[in-house]
Amino acid sequence: MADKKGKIHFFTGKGGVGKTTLSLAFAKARASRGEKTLLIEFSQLNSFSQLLDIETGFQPKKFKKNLDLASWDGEDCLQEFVKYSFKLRLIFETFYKSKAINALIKAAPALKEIAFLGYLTSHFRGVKPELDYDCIIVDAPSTGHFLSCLKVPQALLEISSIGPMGFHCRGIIETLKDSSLTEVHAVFQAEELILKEQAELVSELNLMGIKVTHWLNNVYPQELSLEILSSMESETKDPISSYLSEKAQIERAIIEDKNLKTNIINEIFENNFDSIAEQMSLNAYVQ
Amino acid sequence: MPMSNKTKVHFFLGQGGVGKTSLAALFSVNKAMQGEKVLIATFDPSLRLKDILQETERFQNEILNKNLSIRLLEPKKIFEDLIGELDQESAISIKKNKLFQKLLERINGVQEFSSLYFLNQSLKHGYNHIVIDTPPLQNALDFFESPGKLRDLFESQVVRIFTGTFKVKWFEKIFKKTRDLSLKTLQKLTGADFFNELIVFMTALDDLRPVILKTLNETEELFSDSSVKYNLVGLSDLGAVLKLKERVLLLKSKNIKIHHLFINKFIDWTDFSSKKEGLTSYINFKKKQQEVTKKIIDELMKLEDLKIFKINKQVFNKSEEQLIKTAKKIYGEN
Repeated sequence: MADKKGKIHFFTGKGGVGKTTLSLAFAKARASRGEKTLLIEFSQLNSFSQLLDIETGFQPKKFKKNLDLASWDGEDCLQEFVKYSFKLRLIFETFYKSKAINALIKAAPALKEIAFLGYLTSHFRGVKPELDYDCIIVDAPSTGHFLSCLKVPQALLEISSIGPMGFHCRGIIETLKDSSLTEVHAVFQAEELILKEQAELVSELNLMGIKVTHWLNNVYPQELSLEILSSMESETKDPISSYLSEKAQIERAIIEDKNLKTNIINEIFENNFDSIAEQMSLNAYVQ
Repeated sequence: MPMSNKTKVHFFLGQGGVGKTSLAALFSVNKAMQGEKVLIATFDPSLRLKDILQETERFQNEILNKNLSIRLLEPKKIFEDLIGELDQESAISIKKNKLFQKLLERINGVQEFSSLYFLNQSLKHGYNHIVIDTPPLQNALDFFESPGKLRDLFESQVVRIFTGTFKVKWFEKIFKKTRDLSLKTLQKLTGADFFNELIVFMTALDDLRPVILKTLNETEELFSDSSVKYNLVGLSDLGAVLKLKERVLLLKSKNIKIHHLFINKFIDWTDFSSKKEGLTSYINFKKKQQEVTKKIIDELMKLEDLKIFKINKQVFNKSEEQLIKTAKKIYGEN
């Protein structure tokens, strides 16, 4: 299990599967290994302030040793990038105060996404301003929004392959496709609709040439699973029993199929958050 | 038009994966079976709605055939229709614009606007009910705030300032200089190609301004009309119910009343038990969680005019007959 430093990890998946929880646990696991880690929330749900009772903004804020947190929305990334591009603060402020520019930034598609992806990958591309961390983890939006964001650089390249836009888009795409630099963690659970969406997500990422790691979340611990399966041998048709056994069966099938290379996170019975971080450290298919 | 003939509008809201589309579909089926004319519109291009309502074929049931219409909402097509109303030259230049072709849907508010535009057009057709299966929410207010953001953009005429068609008489020189400097800077940052596409794009949006504002004005009044019902859908686990409560209260604080709350894929652990030890502790854990969830739901029930449905976890059978039965079971005479 190679332990490479310097990487971007996106956590995505269908709504409600556990992206935020797992991205946080993953961040803790990395930080405790001594990696300088940044966990970024890039969805509008403001989970950090609720979950952790901490106010986060664009600037990284120290949360624990080796672990900083931030909340981004794209527009702030754009501002940062623009700010850096101006040598004189005065001109920057005039620019940003301009109503026309503001309107443009709000309405124009793609600028925010490119700024976000551009800033995220800046360190790896050697482009300033740089985001200097060993490990950058993104609690990303759910499947649909996430994929549509990742596709923006390519769409822009087709519009304008030369000049600054082309340069940034190419660099972003290269970084995303480099599996030693970018990894997408696709989180899912053992339920029909979720499995369907997971399959779509993985297939799209494969088409884009982006590395994917699978995380099956909320799995029944093995002993529980075996008990469910054995007690359901009698033909109990009540909805709960069928739900339990269906879930257990799907989970067993996924776990036992070594070709699928899925990391497993067991359901936790108390709010024992640290046990999730521990489970993540032990997982086989993460680099 | 007499009050009883007024079209009732039903919005189904919720995050991705909670069962919005399914519940909206079942609602529509139920009403259609009661003899009412129903139109259901969705953004969900996946086969899920098609699976459920067999969009590509006629229904076997004649009552459904007569009363139920399904539309897939595609923002690109809607905007192409809008462009069709402009003059030839503008229409061509917008259609050629690559930002428009590739990135229209990345603009904040486009999907929400599309559903409102569609709604506005459909209200003229005399349906008893129009059901809108909205795009998945990122946050509770998205659907309601996006039109406002679009409106701000168009009403402020900044687009015209930007494209230079707006004349500011007295301090024109200074204004022009600042604007030009800002624009030059933006051009330098993004490159000439992209910048040019952006200008054409912004001009195109400006051409669409009258019809966009008209739609926003006409539908804005609709939002607070009593003939519009908001249905919020969510899942039944503790985390999901907490989120639902938050959403209901947040919307309430903005004077948006949720009429029906659907707690979907509900599992009732109350009567469940097992002789096996390992399973028993799991079940007890689930029962404890259910008690907490129940308390939250009870609190919500105290809210005025909020009707809460607990929908049990079930498998959707693709048979039309099963569908009609399930629709009636959930919605009854509602």
